[in-house]
Amino acid sequence: MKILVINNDGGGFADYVDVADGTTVDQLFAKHCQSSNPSNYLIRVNRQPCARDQRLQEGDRISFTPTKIEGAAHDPLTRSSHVSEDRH
Amino acid sequence: MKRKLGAFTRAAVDIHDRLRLLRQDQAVSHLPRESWIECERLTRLQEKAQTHQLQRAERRVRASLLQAIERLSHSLKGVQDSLAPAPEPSLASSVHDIFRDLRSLEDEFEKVTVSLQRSTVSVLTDVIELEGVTLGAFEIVLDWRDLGDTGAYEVVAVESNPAEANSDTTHPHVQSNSLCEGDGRVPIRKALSEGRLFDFFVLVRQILETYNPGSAYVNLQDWYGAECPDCGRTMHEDESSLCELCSTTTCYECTSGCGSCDDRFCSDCIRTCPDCDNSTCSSCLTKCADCDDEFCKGCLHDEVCTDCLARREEENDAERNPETTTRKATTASHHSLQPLCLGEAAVPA
Repeated sequence: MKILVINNDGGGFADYVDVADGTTVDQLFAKHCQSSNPSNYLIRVNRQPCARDQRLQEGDRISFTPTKIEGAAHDPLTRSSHVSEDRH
Repeated sequence: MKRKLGAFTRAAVDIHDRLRLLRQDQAVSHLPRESWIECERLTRLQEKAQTHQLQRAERRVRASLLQAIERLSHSLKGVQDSLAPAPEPSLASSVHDIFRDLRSLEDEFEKVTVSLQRSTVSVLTDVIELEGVTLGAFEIVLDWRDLGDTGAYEVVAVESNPAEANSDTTHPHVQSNSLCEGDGRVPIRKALSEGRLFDFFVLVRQILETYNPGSAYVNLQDWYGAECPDCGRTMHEDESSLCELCSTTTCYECTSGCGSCDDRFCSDCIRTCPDCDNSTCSSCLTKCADCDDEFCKGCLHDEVCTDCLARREEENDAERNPETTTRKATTASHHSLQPLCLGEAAVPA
């Protein structure tokens, strides 16, 4: 069956993938996030919180978003950096 | 409710159209010129500190230079990434996907507002508290007319508790309503370019809920005022002063004005002229051509200090009138051997 997998970690990944029938959220997480701890991610199926043993269905949308994402003080491509580049 | 769903639908259609147009656009990159200029400035300061043997100041400037170089590298990497051929978005959200994103935001955030007039979608976060500092709730406002632009959204503090040192800094990673995304930059760009609004808002919220002390506008430990590195007192925004040489921020009382150039300097970078005892910065001190000690410009006469000038004059006198000088020296020598005391009279030898 085909489901949409979105991994918001690192470079980001969003695509439709084929998975075996009966695949659970836990199994898919292990495949896409390897050694990461599931408790460090917000896992949503069809944009809703889900149980780890929930079985995925054809056409589901599953997303993994890290709970902790480190911001910065300087970023070249955000408006703030352009403002500061202009100002200083 | 029906009205709100209508607004969501119209917004989803508008956003979808905007994204379709953007896929043909090319991103424009800006070279980080100001970051480079900052590195050059700090390099000059470092050289200056080395020349004047200001070791502590030199260490501080070197640390600032390292940070500036790191920022420059980061900026250049960003420009390099943006120039690489943009991959086709692996996913293009349909109007229905965008509509469902907007609806689901209501389960994730306390308040979701769509303004068709302003072309914005905004969500309200919970109150954010990091390391015991309550920063309040934030409104994340996305302007879909600016989708594809790096400043497509703003992060506005609702009940602002800004840093004491900078009232524009409402969060360690938010200044002037702009979030510096750090590690979230790529997934945010990707979510926006693919029209995944739900993921975009969640990503921004997770950054707001994370503190990265290694790269913050203002560290949380300094949120209520930074500590003066000299006296240790807590400084407030209007009480701090920047050293013109090493760029260290100290409290006003711990800086001194240079009597020659009027700029202010920290205690490490200010010196005292040994002649007039006035505070003088190292740039305004000049070496005496004779003794090599440093003096302010007002205490040098033709590049020579007062003592050396007096010595020179004595030597010149000695050359011009050797006898007078010898006689004077002999008399002085007698006087110093047997000085007259009170009630005594000089007896000829």
